[in-house]
Amino acid sequence: MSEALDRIVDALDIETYFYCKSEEEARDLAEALIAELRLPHGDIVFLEHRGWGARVRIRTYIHRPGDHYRWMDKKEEAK
Amino acid sequence: MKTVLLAPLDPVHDNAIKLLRRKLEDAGYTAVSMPPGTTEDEVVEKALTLHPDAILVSRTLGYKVAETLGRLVDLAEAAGLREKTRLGVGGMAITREVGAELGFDATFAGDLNMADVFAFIEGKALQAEASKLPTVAREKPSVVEGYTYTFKDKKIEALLDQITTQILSFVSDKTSDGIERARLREEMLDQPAGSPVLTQLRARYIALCDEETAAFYNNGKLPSGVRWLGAEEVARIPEVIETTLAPHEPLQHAGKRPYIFVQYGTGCPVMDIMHIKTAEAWGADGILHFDPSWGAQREGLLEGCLTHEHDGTILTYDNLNLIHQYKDPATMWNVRGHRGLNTAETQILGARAGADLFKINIPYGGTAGGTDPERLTVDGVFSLRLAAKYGLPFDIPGNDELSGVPPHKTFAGILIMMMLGLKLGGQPIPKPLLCYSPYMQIYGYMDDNMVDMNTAKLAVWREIVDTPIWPGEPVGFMTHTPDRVQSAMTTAAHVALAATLGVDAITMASSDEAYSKGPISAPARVDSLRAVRDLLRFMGSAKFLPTPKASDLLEQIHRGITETLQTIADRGDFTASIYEGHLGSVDDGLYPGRTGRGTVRTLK
Amino acid sequence: MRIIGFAGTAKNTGKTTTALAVLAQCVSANLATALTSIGFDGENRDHVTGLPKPRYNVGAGALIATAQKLLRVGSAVVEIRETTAIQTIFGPIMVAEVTKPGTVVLAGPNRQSDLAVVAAIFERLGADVTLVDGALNRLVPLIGTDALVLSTGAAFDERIPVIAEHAAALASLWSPHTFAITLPASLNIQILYSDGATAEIPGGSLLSESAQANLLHSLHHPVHRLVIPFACHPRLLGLILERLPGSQLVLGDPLKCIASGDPLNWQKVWQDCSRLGVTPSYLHSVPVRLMTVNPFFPRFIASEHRYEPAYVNSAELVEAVQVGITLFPVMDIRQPPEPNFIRLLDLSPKEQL
Repeated sequence: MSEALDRIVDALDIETYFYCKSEEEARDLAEALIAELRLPHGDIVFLEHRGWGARVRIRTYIHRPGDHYRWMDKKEEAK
Repeated sequence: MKTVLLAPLDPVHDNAIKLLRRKLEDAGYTAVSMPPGTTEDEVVEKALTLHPDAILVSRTLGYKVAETLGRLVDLAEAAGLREKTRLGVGGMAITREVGAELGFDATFAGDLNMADVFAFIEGKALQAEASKLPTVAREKPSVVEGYTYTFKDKKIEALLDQITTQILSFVSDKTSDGIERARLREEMLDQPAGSPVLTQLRARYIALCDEETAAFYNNGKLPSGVRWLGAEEVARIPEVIETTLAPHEPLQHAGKRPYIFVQYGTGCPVMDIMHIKTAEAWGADGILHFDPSWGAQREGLLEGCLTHEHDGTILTYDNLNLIHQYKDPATMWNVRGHRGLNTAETQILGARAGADLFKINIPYGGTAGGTDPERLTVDGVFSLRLAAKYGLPFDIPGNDELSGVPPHKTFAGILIMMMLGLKLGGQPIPKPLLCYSPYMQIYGYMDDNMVDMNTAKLAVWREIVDTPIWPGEPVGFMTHTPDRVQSAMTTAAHVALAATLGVDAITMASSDEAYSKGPISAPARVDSLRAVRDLLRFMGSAKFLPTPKASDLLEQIHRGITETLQTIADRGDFTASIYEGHLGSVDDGLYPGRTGRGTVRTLK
Repeated sequence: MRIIGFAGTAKNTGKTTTALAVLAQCVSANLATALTSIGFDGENRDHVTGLPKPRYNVGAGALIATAQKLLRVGSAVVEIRETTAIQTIFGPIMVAEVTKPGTVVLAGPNRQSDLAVVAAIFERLGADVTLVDGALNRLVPLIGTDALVLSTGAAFDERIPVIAEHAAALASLWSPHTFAITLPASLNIQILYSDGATAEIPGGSLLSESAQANLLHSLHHPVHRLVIPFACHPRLLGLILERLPGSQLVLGDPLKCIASGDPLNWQKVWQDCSRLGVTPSYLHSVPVRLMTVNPFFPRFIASEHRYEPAYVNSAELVEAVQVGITLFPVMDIRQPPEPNFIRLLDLSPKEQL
């Protein structure tokens, strides 16, 4: 995993707006995006379709409480 | 007093300079400002005659602006100014890296923090230091300060006296395993690790635990999903949080109150510490410890630093101690023990670990909290005695309203807790819940707006008793959705309404309040704290204007409280009143709790 | 110990690239090398253009001086040797030794007096050479160095004649010599009249028309020598020089002059001096050993809101700049042959001299 991802304290949210015809399609697209971005255990936090598109927020936890937190790992550093 | 030269170095804008000048003059400095369009040469020339202690430049970074700022610094050095005059720069896009590249002594990025500016002018600490340590040592505030608890409604006072006399008489010859464990724990905490006395006390403690808890002590068996926190993880905390320390910037805009509290309880004390430091950095004044729901339903608490991947951080002395060690000393800390079989012991652990506030509510814990009312009445009164003994105020959450209970019944229960606390020498804080409860939804009390009812629910307290008021828990309950912006906005709206009604403290949610499929995240805390800061700024000393309906609602609630208390007083048995639904009935969606039924013992 | 300063006419003119090339040769020559910067060096990308920037990749044994909070930012492992009392935006300046090679982020002393403190520590810790990277267009702190490398190029201006004209004007700042007699240290403008009388004007700098009027008022009878020790705007000197025929004009330092005004205006000053028989000189001067030119410039693509790397013709650029400069060599260090910096900067270990 990259250093930047390691530094995420807990959740990584992705917010966007899909061009789509229905809430169902938006859900499919959100799930497809989770798969494309390989988000582990990605979840749709919020999804609302109006008119020609849907407002979506997707979340994955990089670190869950009780995990091993990589942002706590020591880097090689000054003595 | 020191002299400061202010220069916009901008062809048009000097608003930041005008603001700085006013604030510096208010603080007693001599501030000389130059007009927009001033050149670097003019700034240095002015400084050569003025001999200022500091020059502050405000400029938005843009095309060739860095070169202009760099030339100013170079010219100041060429003119021999830099040995005595410090140079600071602020403005959009001015980062510390840019400031260092340009050779400034300090940068002021983002919102203007005058404490930083003063420290810089005084040469006491550079910004790097100022951002590391609070520039002003904060004193821990008090939520209850200034209140007399004098009852203005004498009828209610008389009814409460009657009800609580009965309660105190009822519990006077009763005890429970929970109370005995609390007594043992208090003794255990005084014993050195490994002492034979401690072993004996622990054996007596284990005998009063349920099977699962006893298995932890006897066989080292951890509850499902729970693990020990590694010593290395704990040892790394100071280094990890070193970079997160920031000066406390109050959220309040007009006055010091209300103090803003946030709840934590991610399941992991280390993650909690990160969330606490985040909340502190974004302005929170206080924190509330949330433990897992199973902690309320078991007889006995665990020991050691424990973590798990579920909601609520396990209540142990070591976990609390760890958290206390890293929270800001001025951050108020509430350890809740309002609803379960370990209510009494929780007060002992909290007090010993350094808590500032307790949370105890018998009617809530005895119904929606799931604990048998009789058991919680006995344990609860003992806990109130502990709160008084330790001199710690306790708050009384009105979360039973979430079941569908009308506010007047919830408030009647809170008032009974208040009077009990006062009789035992405590300092109670009622916590009316500002929420869109099922009761409001069913009866349409908030169909037009959410201001009238919430205003009435706060104003009624001022009619009854001179008491601090702390809406929670959290405000805006059931108005939140998983949409981040909506959630932060509705939290901020409820905080602003309560703040403008002169409450003393508020518990607020994160923007993850309505997200149930994962733990609350650090960014969600920031979202809501940012929203609150801006709405408090927006409101200042202005007030909401409720419709005339608010007065009707106020009168209705006040009358309802009196009637409820009259019914309970007439019944002459507090726990029976809970069982019979006088403080919230099955029709209101409330059922008496069952955990711990039949565990109260009568002393011989 | 020799202290070499690297200064540029603008961002992206190749200061750091030149310093890195000198560093590499110092390492090859087994010179104990120390590094610091009067600005901030260490970002992977330019914060304005987003284009990649050269990083300081430093071998074991090198000394660095940088702010405390930046010690851990690079990949190099360092051991702190000394903590100074010099405070900066990123904390106190620390002197450290690289123990494991890697990148470092340098943000060192930003004032001349602080640079002197750091240089003294480097010398005490055994450095043979100290390389001081400049910052943007800032030069004055480099007064504390022993020799300068100037860098200019297309990032200053994309038009080669403009670069050449500016470079020649810049070089002209080094034509006046350092004043032969050491004057008593003073913070003020000093006037020595031909009759032996003296006068002082507080401030030491000439930056405004009111300061100019004030000075003119004092030039009421023949002057032997005028000393302006600090900043001095060249445009304000014109009227002054008319009152000083045949006298000596002593300025602070070429770097202070550059900070005070455009080199093109200074060229005009030297012409006026020549016409009026005024002898210009400095109280102090750091010699320029070399000028590097860089054909690179960031070209803005407006339609895409981004910059892309672009270049002018290197050979044309070098040739155009060389025409106007005789005091020191001019070169594009990316073009062969590789220059011998050890010789050009007089860095040879003493026993080999």
